[in-house]
Amino acid sequence: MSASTLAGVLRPVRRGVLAAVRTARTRLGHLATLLARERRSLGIQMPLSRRLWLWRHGFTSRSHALFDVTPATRRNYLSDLQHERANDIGSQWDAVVNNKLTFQLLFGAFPDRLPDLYGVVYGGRVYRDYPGVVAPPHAGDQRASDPVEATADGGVGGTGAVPGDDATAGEWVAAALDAAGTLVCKPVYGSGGRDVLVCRRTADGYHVNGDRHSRSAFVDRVCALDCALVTAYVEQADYAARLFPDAANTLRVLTLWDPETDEPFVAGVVQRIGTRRSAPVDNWSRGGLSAAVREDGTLSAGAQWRSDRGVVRWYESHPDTGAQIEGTAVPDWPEIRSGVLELARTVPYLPRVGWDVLPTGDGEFVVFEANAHAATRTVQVHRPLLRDPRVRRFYEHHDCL
Amino acid sequence: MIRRLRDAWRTVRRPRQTARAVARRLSVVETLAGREVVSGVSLPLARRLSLWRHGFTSRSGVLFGVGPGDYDDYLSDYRLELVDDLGGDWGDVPANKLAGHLWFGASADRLPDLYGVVDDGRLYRDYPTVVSPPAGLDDRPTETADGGVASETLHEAGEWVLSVLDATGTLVCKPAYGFGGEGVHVCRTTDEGVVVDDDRVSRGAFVEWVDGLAATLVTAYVEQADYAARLFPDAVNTLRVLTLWDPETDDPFVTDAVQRIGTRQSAPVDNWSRGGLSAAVREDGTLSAGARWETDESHLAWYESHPDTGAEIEGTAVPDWPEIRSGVLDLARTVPYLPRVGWDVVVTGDGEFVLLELNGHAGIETLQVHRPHLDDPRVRRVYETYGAV
Repeated sequence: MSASTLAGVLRPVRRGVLAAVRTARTRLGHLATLLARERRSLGIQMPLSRRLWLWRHGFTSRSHALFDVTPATRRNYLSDLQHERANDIGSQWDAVVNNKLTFQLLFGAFPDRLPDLYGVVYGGRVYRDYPGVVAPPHAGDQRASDPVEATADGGVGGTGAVPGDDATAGEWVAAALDAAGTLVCKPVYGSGGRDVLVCRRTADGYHVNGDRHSRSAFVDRVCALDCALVTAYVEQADYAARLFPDAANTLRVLTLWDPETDEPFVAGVVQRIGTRRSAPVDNWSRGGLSAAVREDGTLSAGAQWRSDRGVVRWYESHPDTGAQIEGTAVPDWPEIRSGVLELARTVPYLPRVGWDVLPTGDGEFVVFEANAHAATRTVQVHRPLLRDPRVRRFYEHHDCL
Repeated sequence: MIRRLRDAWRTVRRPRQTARAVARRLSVVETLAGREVVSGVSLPLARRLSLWRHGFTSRSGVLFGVGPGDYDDYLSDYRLELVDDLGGDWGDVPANKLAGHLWFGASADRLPDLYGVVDDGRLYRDYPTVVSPPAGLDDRPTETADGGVASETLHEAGEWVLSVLDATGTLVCKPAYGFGGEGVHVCRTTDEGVVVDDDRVSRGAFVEWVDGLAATLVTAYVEQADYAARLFPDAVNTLRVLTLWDPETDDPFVTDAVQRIGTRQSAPVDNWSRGGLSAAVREDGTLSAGARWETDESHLAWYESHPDTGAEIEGTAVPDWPEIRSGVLDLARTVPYLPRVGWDVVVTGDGEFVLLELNGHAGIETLQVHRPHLDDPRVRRVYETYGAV
């Protein structure tokens, strides 16, 4: 038998084997993820029979503490396993959405909905040849909104002049910070608020997440960044600052693309609120609070996951600031909701997105990131997702249930 | 019991990194083995074993004529798979053609005009690099009062694209994700109606066809420079330029460039994997003879002139090659996080060019048929610095 006949015979066999391997690999992947999650929640106390019951129905032990999962309610909750199955939805676009630079470019037609991008720091240099990049603002300087080319200016130091693109990244960002007063460096790849640097320039130095640095220490720190976006610091709306001023308190808006109406809808939304534990970010996994945003735009009590104890704590008022949470209104919530839906409508290839949205007042907001694999626990801690027939229809359509 | 489980897990966890590295290599071997099975190349077993031992598939053995004595000068299939990881997470981003387009939006004259993205019967134009539609056309098919596209206008995207085609005469539909020219269609209007690639379709069928496309970019058709059109007029004949980022100089350089030339087999694209030719662009900008992998007979054939058009290939000059080379390097300088990029550019004349796509996982066959990739000491040093060879 010649090699080509052999190849002809083997081709369909190979295709079948590869498909089977792929399925098995996906299932093993789900299992490994759930096992890793389970490992972190084994400390949660419950009878073994309860644990086995949860496992049998696709939940990890954490769900015992997070949700009110009972034989009667379990079908209303999106289980851990069902959530993992949803990972394939729109997954081809992950590479684009998970990258904060390409995310920013993807929504570049909505510059008001994004924090201003000053540049990208990589390997100790700053790169600014991207659409939508703006010059850092400078009090009394008309160059604030000038295009990229306007930076061929050698000035370095406390003068506020932004140096040219050939300066080291540290010098460039330090000068930008001198000019702007505040800015943010966030890794191009990163989640859960990890390694986000909120930088402030005050009379006594350069502050990074509250720690004072000398200018040279700040320059070194920026030069050491792996690959990060340098963006404007965005002031949050008053109501959000009142809740907890030391973090950007974002709304997490989960949008799903309804296969029946062929339109996205908001499946769930929570107000995330930073705490002393989570500052300078508001992430749930780092001890931030999650309060449901009700239909009328008011907040429920805030839930906090205490991973060390494996329990959920509820707060009607903020544990650190004492600010009222329960009943507080998210001003102009209907405008924010329709603004987010407007963005969601432009990306049909991303049928499921968790948007991190910072309200800035008067119904305006900026989006920090879009998560194609947004976790659902901050939403489901308030109410089971699948009770909404549209949400159930979405997950059924994508074969996750 | 739970505590014991937890302890057991901890001990298992440590070698995880090793396991990952092993898994990566296994998956490379699996890929290569799969390629070997379908290659259809006939070689004596001893030669095959020798190639395998040095990380080459039988196909590469035939393509490059590699053997004992110069194994080390070639980038083997095995090494290429490992080199593929150089860009890390970034490596997968360019596979999305919309992202590739947005990336270089600051150099708009280097991009084909993007009219919009169609998906499932709808038109999307809310991207920063989208150009205004030709005169007389609205931005969107139909809008509802609140700015959203009305859901009953499901067939408007196709109609809109047809009207763009009427206004421009030609356009290209290419899927956001597609490999080796797959799914790329050149559309034209002629006196007899609409032609997609070589097929004449009715206007209604065209509209329906467009409405069935998923996440597809609608762009202008780029007219290639005369020299390229003369080589083979029925395909866009692109240059493939491979750039590497040299950590020592902190600057990219061009390792190789080849002129890809379409054939009757590959039209309307020029892809090697579909039967296109590859001719090396020499330092002085002239072309070598063109190579083609003859799938039927599984061997490499060389053409001094084009097999279909008869146009001279060997010795033909790529006009203004130095300008094109430096223009590509300018683009490469803006994406330092992609240390190895294959650029597909169409030369449009007078040293100008348009970027059709960039590849974060650029293959090596079209280049190495001409000369061993690691022969150049600078190329070897860069790969060594990255720990890839």
